Amino acid sequence: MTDARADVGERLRVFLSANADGADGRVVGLSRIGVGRSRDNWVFDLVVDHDGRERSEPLILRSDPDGGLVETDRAVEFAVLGALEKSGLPTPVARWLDADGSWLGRPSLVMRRLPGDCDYRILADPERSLDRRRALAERFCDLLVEVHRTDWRALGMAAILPDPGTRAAAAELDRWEAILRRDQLEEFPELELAVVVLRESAPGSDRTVLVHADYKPGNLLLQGDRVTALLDWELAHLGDPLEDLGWITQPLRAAEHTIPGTWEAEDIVAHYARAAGVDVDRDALAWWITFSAFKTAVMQVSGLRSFLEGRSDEPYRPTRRVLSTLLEAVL
Amino acid sequence: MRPTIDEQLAGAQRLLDLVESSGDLSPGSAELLRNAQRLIKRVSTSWSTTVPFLVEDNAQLTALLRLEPTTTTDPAARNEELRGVLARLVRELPGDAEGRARRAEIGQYLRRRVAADPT
Repeated sequence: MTDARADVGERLRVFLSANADGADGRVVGLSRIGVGRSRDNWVFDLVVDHDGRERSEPLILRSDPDGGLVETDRAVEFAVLGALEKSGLPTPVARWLDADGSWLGRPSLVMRRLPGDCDYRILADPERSLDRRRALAERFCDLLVEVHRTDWRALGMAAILPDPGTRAAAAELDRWEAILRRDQLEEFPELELAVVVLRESAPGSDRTVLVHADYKPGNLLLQGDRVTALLDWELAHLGDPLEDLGWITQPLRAAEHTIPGTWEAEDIVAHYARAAGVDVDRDALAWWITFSAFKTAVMQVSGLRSFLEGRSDEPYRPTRRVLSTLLEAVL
Repeated sequence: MRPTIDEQLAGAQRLLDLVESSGDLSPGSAELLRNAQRLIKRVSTSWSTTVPFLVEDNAQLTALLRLEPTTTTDPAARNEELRGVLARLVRELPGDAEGRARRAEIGQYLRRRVAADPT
């Protein structure tokens, strides 16, 4: 057993023993998934003796990284997941929270592990026929519509997430500009120009929905062609549905979300509009696509700082592709 | 002067490639190795052109900002300084026709810079 595994195992044992519904369990098969300091996820089974028989619950421990592309609040993610349990969406059950890291070393949450595999390039999978991939792409789009139809008020999410109302675009720009200011190690005139242009043209929002904010095949689990889980709700917030639609139709993400010649960005928009029963405001969508490039650039700025400060192992930096895409969009 | 910078970077790359070819790395170590290889490769392909790029960019920035040319022994520090001035200018440009024309001029410069940046 490695030192890290032994340490996490012991912390988990103590943490679970302090929780009534985990106190009698044994941690079995603890192993780390992902690598480096940027991701700290551990899978294990909690085995409980019940009436002379063993019951096993598959779980995943997700701890805040030392650094990475984004810093998010594990307590908010835990509360969002808890609220989503009654939504009908395929989300993991949130089991326990160590909000301040006093038990597990860093703020952490324990979720039930769902079956399925993750492949962020599934729409390019050569093992699947074009028809199967197209059907999957449509299913992904339908699931996004389901996310946006989530009755967040009925689920009590208004107590967890602020409703930006009509100024959803301005609020997200404020949020990511603040992250830029916090993490930038030098001036980026390219990003300043983007902020100015985005600020001038921020559209109003005509409805507030639950926004996933990092919707992609890489955050879905599949069994065969069935979606078993939609993961990574750490960036979720209330806002404009076009934010997610812009995120998945932005050119920088085309390799993950489109099938060349069969399922292009325009097909995504048309399918979304049909499935959601809405007209998509193309000018507003264009703003959100530009914002997506800006957000990506800010994530890279944050990632660079994390790497240079030794909190992350991935050498991110604002890339030529992202900056040129952003400038193309704002000029 | 031997070893040259290129020779040292190539040596580091070769050593990392040897580690990779040893084939007994854990997935975690393999990913860390790939990150290190990416960094070495990036520096190898850009270090020799970075200073000339910064010198040329400083000249273009000086002209764009309508400043008097100055001499400097540290083009990187001067570049950071000038980019700071440009960032402030972008933030403070008025929204009138003149401001928009200036913004377009700055935008064209930034596109050229991003395309030419060797780092």
